[in-house]
Amino acid sequence: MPRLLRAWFFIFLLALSSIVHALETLTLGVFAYRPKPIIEAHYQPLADYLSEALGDGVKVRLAVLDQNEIDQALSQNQLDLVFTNPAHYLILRSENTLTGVLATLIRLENQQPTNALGGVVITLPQSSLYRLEDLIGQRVAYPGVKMLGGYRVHLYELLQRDIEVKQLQLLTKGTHDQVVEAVLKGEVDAGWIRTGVLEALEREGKLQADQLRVINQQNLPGFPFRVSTRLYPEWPFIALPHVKADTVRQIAAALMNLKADHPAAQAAQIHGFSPPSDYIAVENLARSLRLPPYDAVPEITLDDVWSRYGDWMLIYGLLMLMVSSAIIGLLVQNRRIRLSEEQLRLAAQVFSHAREPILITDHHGVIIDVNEAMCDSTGYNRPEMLGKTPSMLKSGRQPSSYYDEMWRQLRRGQSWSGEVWNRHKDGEVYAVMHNISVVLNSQGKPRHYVAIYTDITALKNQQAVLEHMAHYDALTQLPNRVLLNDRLHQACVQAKRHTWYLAVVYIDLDGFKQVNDTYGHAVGDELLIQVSQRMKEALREVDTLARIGGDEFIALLTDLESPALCEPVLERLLAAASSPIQIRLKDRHTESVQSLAVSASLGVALYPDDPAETDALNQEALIRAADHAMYDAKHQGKNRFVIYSAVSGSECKRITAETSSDEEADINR
Amino acid sequence: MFPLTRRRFLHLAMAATASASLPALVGCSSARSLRVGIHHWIGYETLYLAQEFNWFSQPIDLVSGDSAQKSMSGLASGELDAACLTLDEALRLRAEGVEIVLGLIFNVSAGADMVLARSPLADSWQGARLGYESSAVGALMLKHFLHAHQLQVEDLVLLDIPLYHQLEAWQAKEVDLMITFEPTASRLQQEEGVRIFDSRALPDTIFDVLAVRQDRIKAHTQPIKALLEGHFRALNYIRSNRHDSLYRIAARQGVEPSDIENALAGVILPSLQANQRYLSGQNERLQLACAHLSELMLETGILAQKPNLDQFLTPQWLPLQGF
Repeated sequence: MPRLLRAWFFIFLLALSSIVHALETLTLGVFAYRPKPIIEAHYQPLADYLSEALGDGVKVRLAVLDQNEIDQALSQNQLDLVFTNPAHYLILRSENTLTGVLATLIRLENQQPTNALGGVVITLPQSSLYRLEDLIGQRVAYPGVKMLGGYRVHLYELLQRDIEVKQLQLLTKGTHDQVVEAVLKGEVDAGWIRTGVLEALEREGKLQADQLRVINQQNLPGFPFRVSTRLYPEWPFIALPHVKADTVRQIAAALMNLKADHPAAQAAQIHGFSPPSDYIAVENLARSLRLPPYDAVPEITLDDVWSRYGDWMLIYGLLMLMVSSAIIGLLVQNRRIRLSEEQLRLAAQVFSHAREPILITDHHGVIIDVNEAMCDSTGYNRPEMLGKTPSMLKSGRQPSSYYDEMWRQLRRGQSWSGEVWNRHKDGEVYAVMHNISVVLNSQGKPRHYVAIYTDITALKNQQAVLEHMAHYDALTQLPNRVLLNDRLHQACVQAKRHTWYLAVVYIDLDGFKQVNDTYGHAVGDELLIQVSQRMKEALREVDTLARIGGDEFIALLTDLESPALCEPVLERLLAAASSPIQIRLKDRHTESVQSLAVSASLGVALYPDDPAETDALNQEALIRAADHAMYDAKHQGKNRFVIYSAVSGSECKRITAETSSDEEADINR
Repeated sequence: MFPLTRRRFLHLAMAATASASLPALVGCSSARSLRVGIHHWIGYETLYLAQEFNWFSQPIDLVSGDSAQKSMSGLASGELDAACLTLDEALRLRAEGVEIVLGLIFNVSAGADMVLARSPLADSWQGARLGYESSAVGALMLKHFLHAHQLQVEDLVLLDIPLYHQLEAWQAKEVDLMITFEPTASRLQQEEGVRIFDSRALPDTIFDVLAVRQDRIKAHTQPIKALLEGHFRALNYIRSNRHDSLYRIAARQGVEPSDIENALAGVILPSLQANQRYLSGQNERLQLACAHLSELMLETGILAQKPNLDQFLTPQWLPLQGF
């Protein structure tokens, strides 16, 4: 704040002086980079020189100002000419309209002129700092942020070494002289000053050459000062736009004309002025450091970014897109694979552990896999079956047309099911239920066939047993009444067609009950089996003998061209029934063979009774008639046959039965 | 909003190629560094500057010799991969069967090559002793100097004085006239030498170039590109940071900054765009200079046979963006 007040006071003085002096006064503002009295002493002669050069009525006033004072004065438009460092010039140029640089200072040292300046990094000789990198973490004094040689050039060197400013402890000291003082006193570890200051202080006797050491000193033999950084153009001399063009030309000419040996040049310790240097290096420096006036971060629009990095953004965008979509695709695929793997595992387990035999073929019908149950049921092991066709299992029971039809249906893509007789490896034929499914490919053509077998042999056998039981007598294995009725019906149809006769012979064994009672049921049964067997043998091929209960049988004699033709058969039947039978008797301790004999009473009913009445067939009646005639035979003394006649009642025929009396004697024995 | 123009497409294609060649680039870095023969000449100072500021992004060895002769023999023997030469030296190598390609123009002489005399009076030159390096440039300068002043070779006594001996010979007054070039020229001028003829009379004729051995290109493409990038960055630095550059070059050459300023004044340092035009043939001056120099060298017997000039120039290593 006091500094600001001072500035205002100074401006007031300037304003006052311009009123007091009637003649035109140009105010030359010189930046006080060193203590003001020194700068004033250096440049008052130059101001006088310019006054002299401008001639009548124009006077150049020197105003040595610090940074804030210069800014204030400029904002009040109190300055006409400005002489300052290039960094400061850039800032002023961005804030004010300047006519541009009239000339660039040429400094002189040791008879060597130069119009370049740089920065010097100083430290005490005994310090341990030798490189710029060593400044990290150290206390470093500098004169002020608007200094070029005292600040900016140093920052740039740090930037080139990737050192950040905040890694240093920076302290502002106002002027270069104060920085040198701070270093000498040990208040700081190092100091930043501009070129020429050390040499000037030494010349002024304020410093001995060995009191300070320069860090990172550059080897530039042509340059008269010690320097630690790159070099930049010296101070510019600037005119403000309100100064008359004529005056500007005169000032520029005077500056160029200033000889090194002129008192003004000697007082300022300069060689003179050169045509303006190119300050682009200073601009670039400020730009890369983002320092004023290039400290404002440019507003970056999407367009800017696009035009600069568009290609890379596109490429990386595309790459990212490709990579992320690939990742998503992979995840989805992975999940799908995992699911289908589980399904496959499940299917495989079902396949291998199923109790039903399963067989898989390709679309040609070649076996590509079978499960364990399949091997068990066929007797073949897996290697024996793979690569063959299912026809290896054929039993030959089905005609090939059966299989042709199956394949036709499968090729149409339809599943098929049916019974098939297969042959086991050991030759046994067995029945299976086939269920064949078709696996279609994406074009709808069969790709695989899957056949599931169910062994139905037991079922088939059971069925056959039941069928047998329904039609045959369990003891004698002769047809039962059901089958007899069926045969009778067919025989009647035949008889009618061929105008043949048939005879129903009702047979009842004589004396069987007595055998049963005497020897027991087992012997009775054995007798029944043997007698029935003999009777069956006594019949012709076309005839049927059925057991209809107990010791009652019915023989069906067919294809008789005449009724009389039945008689020889009847005779044979009687003989068969009455011939003795050897039966093995088993006691608890003994075993003996017993000869037993029974006889039979036969009742015969002929059909047609009257060849003219063939239509009126009644099977039941026929049997009843035979039954009736059998009773007649019993009544007439057994061991004979009686042919029933509806017209004349029963006609009895007696058959001699000498053997039967023998047998009865046997029985009694 | 951002139409995919043809130019952008090309950029994209290039960027894609660049990213694709990234592994190759990494692979190259493990190879040995690019060895570049170089000698004292203001036009080649950019390379030293780039080296000083660590601007080469690839390993590059600047092999300093005291004359172009050393660079030429190094290039011919294969000890060097590339060298900084004058155009006539490059032509001579080509004519001798060393397969080289020119990929950069460092500078075009525009006053840096000159004829100095003790006296500016033309009358005093009759029968004078003229010292010169019997190079193509020397012969070229001689021919044009004679032509400009309507002199015959017989009017002068020609002495072959190599560059490193020129100052000494001048001080010892062994010669009256000297064909020389910067920075020796500045030194002779300080020793009462007067410029009576210079290469400004021969615009676009004396070129300094980078010659690269054909058989080293494949393995060293990236370092060559890095070399050119460093050159253009340094060239830009010389333009924008003139003060600093002058002091640094002067320090390296051991002369005064003002000598460097004089030397720089005598050469034109072609920008990236100018290089592009020269090397692509858009600007035919370089090709014309090649043909012209070849003929002159045949005439003067420096060359025994005409060099093959097919695929002699290439702009392929020039950086894409401007500096």
